[in-house]
Amino acid sequence: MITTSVELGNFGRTFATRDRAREIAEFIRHDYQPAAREVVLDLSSVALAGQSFMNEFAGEMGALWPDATLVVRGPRNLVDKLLFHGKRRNLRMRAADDEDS
Amino acid sequence: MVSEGGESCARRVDEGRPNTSSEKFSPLEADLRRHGRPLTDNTRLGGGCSFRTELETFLPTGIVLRRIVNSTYQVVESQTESLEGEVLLDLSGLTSIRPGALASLAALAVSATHAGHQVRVGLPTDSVCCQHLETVSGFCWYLSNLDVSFEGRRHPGDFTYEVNDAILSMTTVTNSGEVEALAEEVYEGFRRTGGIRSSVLLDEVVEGLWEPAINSIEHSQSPFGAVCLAQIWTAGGRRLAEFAVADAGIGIRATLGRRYPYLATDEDAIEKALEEGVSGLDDPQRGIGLSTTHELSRKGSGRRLMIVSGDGCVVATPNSTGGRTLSRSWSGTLVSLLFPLSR
Repeated sequence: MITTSVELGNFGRTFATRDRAREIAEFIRHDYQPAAREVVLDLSSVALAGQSFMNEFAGEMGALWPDATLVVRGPRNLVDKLLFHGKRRNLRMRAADDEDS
Repeated sequence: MVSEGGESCARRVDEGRPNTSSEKFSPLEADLRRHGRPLTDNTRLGGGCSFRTELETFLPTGIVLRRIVNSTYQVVESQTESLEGEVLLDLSGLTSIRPGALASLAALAVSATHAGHQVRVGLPTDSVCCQHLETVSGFCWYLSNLDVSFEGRRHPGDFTYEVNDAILSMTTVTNSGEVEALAEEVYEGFRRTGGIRSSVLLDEVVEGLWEPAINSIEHSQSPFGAVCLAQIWTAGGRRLAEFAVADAGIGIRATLGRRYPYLATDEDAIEKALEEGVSGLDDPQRGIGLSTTHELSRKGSGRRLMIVSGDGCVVATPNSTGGRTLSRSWSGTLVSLLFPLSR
């Protein structure tokens, strides 16, 4: 299975706005693997991420990989936040912990 | 000795004028009175005597704040008229003001200068409160960057501010990049002061500031953006963090009115905005900003969210959410959120 990973910490550690989510998605778009069936969204190095950002970020990742499973890794509160928005958008998304445990 | 008739005559003569022998006026207010421009008594919080003179048409508009101001709505309700001409913010009698109210006051001053009005600020005679405005909160420093004049100070342009218990000194955000920078500053502020050790609480606290700020940037159409302030303070041995975001935009009711035309009052509009998925935009994924903030206010004991928009005021605590209609209206939206940091 083709997998790929997005390490959000490469773009900073505090993410607040929808614009920021769109910027990051645009950056990723140049370098992504559309055939990936599993995409790891790694939030390990992220300190803070707001609801507006997470909402838009989930939407952008879902648009980039509509057929993939998005696996979220990082601090529990941030993972839960992204999962909330993924679920709201009916994305195939789960926490990395769910598989690890 | 004055006869009864004389007293009665004196009453008639003084009717409608300030009784200078029995009233205490701030220096600024007294100055205005000497120049025939007394403030009407309805400008006072908990005012004493009642007089409205024929000189009312010459009155400067503004605010006179008395003593302790705890809430944003107290600032709104203390407005004299819609702010036009010379605007006076008389804070000389002030002894204590909380961050939310201070941000509202600053937003009001910015709004007035933006509209081309001259703004004068009378600083508190209480030295502790004055120091708070001059240094800790950044209030004076912030306003001195505008065309605002200060009474009771020799060098009004000479303000500095100290990073003390202010996590975020008063600042304006006008775009999403600035909100992001603001979030960084708040995050660093808490790290610097060691205010919060729990990453979950820190996440919630920062979100309590930036979601309303983002909301304001995206929806309010405020001419100057939004004024933000975050501060830690202590009350009754408890450490509290308070955030405030204030704008002078179109208000929540106008924003939601496009999609929810049945909202009859500002209070209804604010309460509607607290629901998840409610937005002025026709996008089912939107409408999480204020609902998130509302949710935050309900998560922990002692938290309190206050939103003022138009003449509506809604207060949410972990146990209840309730509204009221104010006697004055605010052209825009004020959001303040209080977090206890210790039990």
